[in-house]
Amino acid sequence: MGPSSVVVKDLYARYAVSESWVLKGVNLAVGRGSMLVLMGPSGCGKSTLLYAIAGLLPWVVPGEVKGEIVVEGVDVARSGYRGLAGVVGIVYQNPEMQVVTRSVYEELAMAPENLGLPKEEVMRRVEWVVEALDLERYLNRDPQSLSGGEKQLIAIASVLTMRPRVLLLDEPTSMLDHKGARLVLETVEQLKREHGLTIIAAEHRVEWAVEVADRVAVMSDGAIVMEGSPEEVFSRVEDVERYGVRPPGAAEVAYELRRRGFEVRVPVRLREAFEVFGL
Amino acid sequence: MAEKARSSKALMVLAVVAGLAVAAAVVYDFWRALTVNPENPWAEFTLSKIFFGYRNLMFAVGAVVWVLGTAIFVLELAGRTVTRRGLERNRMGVAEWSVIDVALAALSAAVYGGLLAATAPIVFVPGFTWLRPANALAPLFGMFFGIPGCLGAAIGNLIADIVGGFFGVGSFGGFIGNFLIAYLPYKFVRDHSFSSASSIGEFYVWGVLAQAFVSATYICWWLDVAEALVGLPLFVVWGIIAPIIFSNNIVVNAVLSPVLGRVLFPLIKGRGLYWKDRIKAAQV
Amino acid sequence: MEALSLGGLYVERKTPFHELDPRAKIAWALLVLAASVATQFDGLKALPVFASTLAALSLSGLGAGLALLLIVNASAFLAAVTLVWAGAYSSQGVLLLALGPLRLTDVGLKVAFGKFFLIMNPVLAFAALFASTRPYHLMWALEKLGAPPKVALTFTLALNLLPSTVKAVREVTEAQVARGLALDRGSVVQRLRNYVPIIVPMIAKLLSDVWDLSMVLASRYAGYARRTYVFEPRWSARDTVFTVLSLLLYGGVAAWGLAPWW
Repeated sequence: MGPSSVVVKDLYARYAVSESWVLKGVNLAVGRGSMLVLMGPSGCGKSTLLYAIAGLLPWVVPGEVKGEIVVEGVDVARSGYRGLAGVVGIVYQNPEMQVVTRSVYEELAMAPENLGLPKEEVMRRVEWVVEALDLERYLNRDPQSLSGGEKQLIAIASVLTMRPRVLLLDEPTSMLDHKGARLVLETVEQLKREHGLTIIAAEHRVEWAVEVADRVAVMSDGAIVMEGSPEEVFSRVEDVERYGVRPPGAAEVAYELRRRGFEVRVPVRLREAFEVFGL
Repeated sequence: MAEKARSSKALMVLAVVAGLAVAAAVVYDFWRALTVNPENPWAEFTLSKIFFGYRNLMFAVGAVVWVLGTAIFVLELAGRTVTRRGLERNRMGVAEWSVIDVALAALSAAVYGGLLAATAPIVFVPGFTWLRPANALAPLFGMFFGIPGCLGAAIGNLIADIVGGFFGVGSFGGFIGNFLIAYLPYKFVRDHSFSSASSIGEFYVWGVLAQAFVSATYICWWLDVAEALVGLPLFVVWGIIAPIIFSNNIVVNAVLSPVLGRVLFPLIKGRGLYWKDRIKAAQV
Repeated sequence: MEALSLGGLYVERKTPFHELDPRAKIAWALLVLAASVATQFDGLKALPVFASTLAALSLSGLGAGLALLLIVNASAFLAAVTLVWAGAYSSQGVLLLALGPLRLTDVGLKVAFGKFFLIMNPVLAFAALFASTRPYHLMWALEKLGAPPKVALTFTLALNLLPSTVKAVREVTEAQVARGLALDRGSVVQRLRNYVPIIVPMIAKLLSDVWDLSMVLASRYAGYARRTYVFEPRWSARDTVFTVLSLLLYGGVAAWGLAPWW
C-alpha cells in the first residue's frame, strides 16, 4: 500500500438524535489510489463513517465527532466539508435527490459553478467528464427522464467535475435494478482503473467487491471488525457470516465442502473457483 | 398556582371551542346563504356582508396588517425578530441559512406547491369547491421548521400560482400572506407539540383564528390597492375572495392541522428537524 | 389535469421565445401588464395585447390552446368578475341587453372585456415567461434583481423538485384509494380528514429527502462562493429588437387606451 490518502484514528461519531455512539473507535488507513469496500449489515455505521470522512458529520448533519480524520493532508475535524472542495467527492444512495436541475449539463456544471470557478474552467471540466465517462448521449436529456442507474451515473459525473482525489460511494447501487447497478459499478471500476482515484465504497454486492477492491473492511456495531485483502477477509467465512455479511458464493460452496471433510482451498473470486473446483 | 393553571386550561379549551364553532358556523352559514339565494349566495353570506359591508374598516385594518406583515417578513428574513426587549437576532435569517435550511425551505415549497397543484379542492357545499386540504400544512411548516418553513409556504403558494396559471400582480399578496399563515403560529404558539391543552389552545388562537383573519385582510388589501393592476371589483375582493380565504383557512386549519400536527411533530423531532432543537444544537 | 395544473412549468423546447434573454421576457411581461392596465376600460383596445400573448404562447411552443385551458379552468371566477364589472357600468352607454337584473350596455361590455383581459393577459404572459425560461435562468434573473442567492436557489430547487413531488402525490393518492380511501365521501370534516393518509406519507418522504438534499447541496458546495453561471444570458441584437418592438406595440396600445379622444 502506498502513502495513505485517508487516515482515520480512534473515531467516535454520533448524530444529535442518537442516544449512543454510532461509530466506536474506528481506525482506518486507505492508500492513495487504492479501493476499500466497506461491508456490514445495515445500521453498522458504514454511511456514518463516510459522512464523517466527507466532513458532513457534524458540519451538515448535526452530531458529534471525536478522533482524527485526515484526508489528503486535510484535517477534516478542523476544516469540515468546506475544506475538502476538490479533495473529496461523495455519491449517495438515492439517485432521485442527487439530480436537482433540469438538464444534464447544468447538473454536471453545478459543483464547479458553486465553487466560483471561471466559466471556461467549468466548461473544460464538464467536457472532460463527458468524454471520460462517455456521457455525450445524455447531454440533451432532461434528468427526470433518466433511469435510476443513469441518474446515479450523472451523480458520479457531477462529483468528478470537482476533480476529487478521493471518491466516497455510499451504497450507490442499493436503490437500483440490476441493469442500473451494473452501469454504476462498471463506471466505478473504470474510475479506479483509468483515473487512479482513492475510492471508499459502502457496497453490499460482495461478488463485485472481491473483484475490484484492494481491501475490504467489515463493520459491525460501529467498529471495523475485519480488514484485509478480499482473500484474507472472505477466506474466514464463519467470521464474515457472524458479522452479518454474506460471503461470495464461491467461498460459501468451498467452505461447505470443507465442513463436509473435503480438503479444498477457499476461493473468493469466480475465476479462482473455476481453478479450485477444476471447472 | 393550581387556580392559575385551571383558568389557563379553561381559556385554552375556550379557544378550541371558539375555533371549531367559527369553522362550523362558516360552513352552516354558507349552506344557509346558498339555500336562501342560490343565484348569488354572496349577497346572503354573513362573512361577505361583514368584509364588504365594513370595507372601509377592513381596508384600514388591512393597511396596518400589510405594513406590519411586510415589515415582519423583511425583518425575519434579514435575521431579526421583534421581541418585548426590542429587535433581536432570530438565528434564522437567510444569510445564516445552512444547506439544511435551503433544503427544508425548498422541499416545504415543493410539497406545499405540489399538494396544492395535484389535489383537487374538496366540496365545501355543493357547487362550491374551494377547501384546499394542503393549506393545513402552512402553519405546521412554520411551527416545525421555523423561518425556512414560513418561506417554504410562501414560495410553495407562489409556485402553485405559477404552475396553475394564476401568477399575476395579485400573487405578491398571496406570497407574503402565506408566509404570515405559517409565521403567526411559529411566533406565538409556545408549545408546538399539539400534545397539551395550551399547545392546542394557542394553535386555535394563532394558527386558526388570527392567521385566517390576517391572511384574508393582507391579501385582499393588496388586491384592493392594486385594483387598477389586478382588475378585480371591490365586491369580488371583499365580498367573495376575503370570505373564501377566511373560511378556507378557518375550516381547513381547525379540522386538519391539529390532527396532522399531532402525528407529524414526533416524526419531525425524531429526525432532528424541529427548529428549536436545531438552533439549540447549533449553539452547542 | 396534469397539463392544466402544471401549465406554467418550464417546458424544454427550441423556440425563438426560449432563446430570448430572460430580462427581455420579464420586460415584455411587464409591458403586457402595463398595456392591459391602460386598456382596462375598453376590451376592444385590449384585444391586440391578448392576441400578442396568444402569439407568445404559440412561439414558445406551448400552443395558444393553453390560454383556452386556463380560461376554462377559471371560467366561473371570470364570469363572476366580468358580470360584476358589466353591472357596475350598466347606467352608462347604450342598453344592449336586459335580462332580469342584468343590464348590459355597450360601455359595460367594453369594461367587462377590458377587465377580463386585464386579468388574463398578464396571467398568459407570465405563463409564457415561466414555461420558456429555464429555472437556471430564473435563478440568475432573481439574483440580478437583488434576491439573496440562497432564496433564489431555494425557489429554483423547489421548481425543479415540483414535477417529482406532484408525481409522488399522485402515486400516494392512487395507493391509498386502492386501499379503500374515499376522498369524495362523507361530511366536510370527514372529507378533510381523508387527506391525512395522503399528507402524512408526503411529509415522511420530505423528512428523509431533507437530509439527502442537504448533503447533496453541501457536497456540491452550494453557497461556497459567488456562483459562476456558465449559461449566463447574453443580451443580443435579437433581444433589443424584441424589446423595441414590444415597446412600440404596447406603448402604442397603451396610448390608444389612455387617449380619451381615440
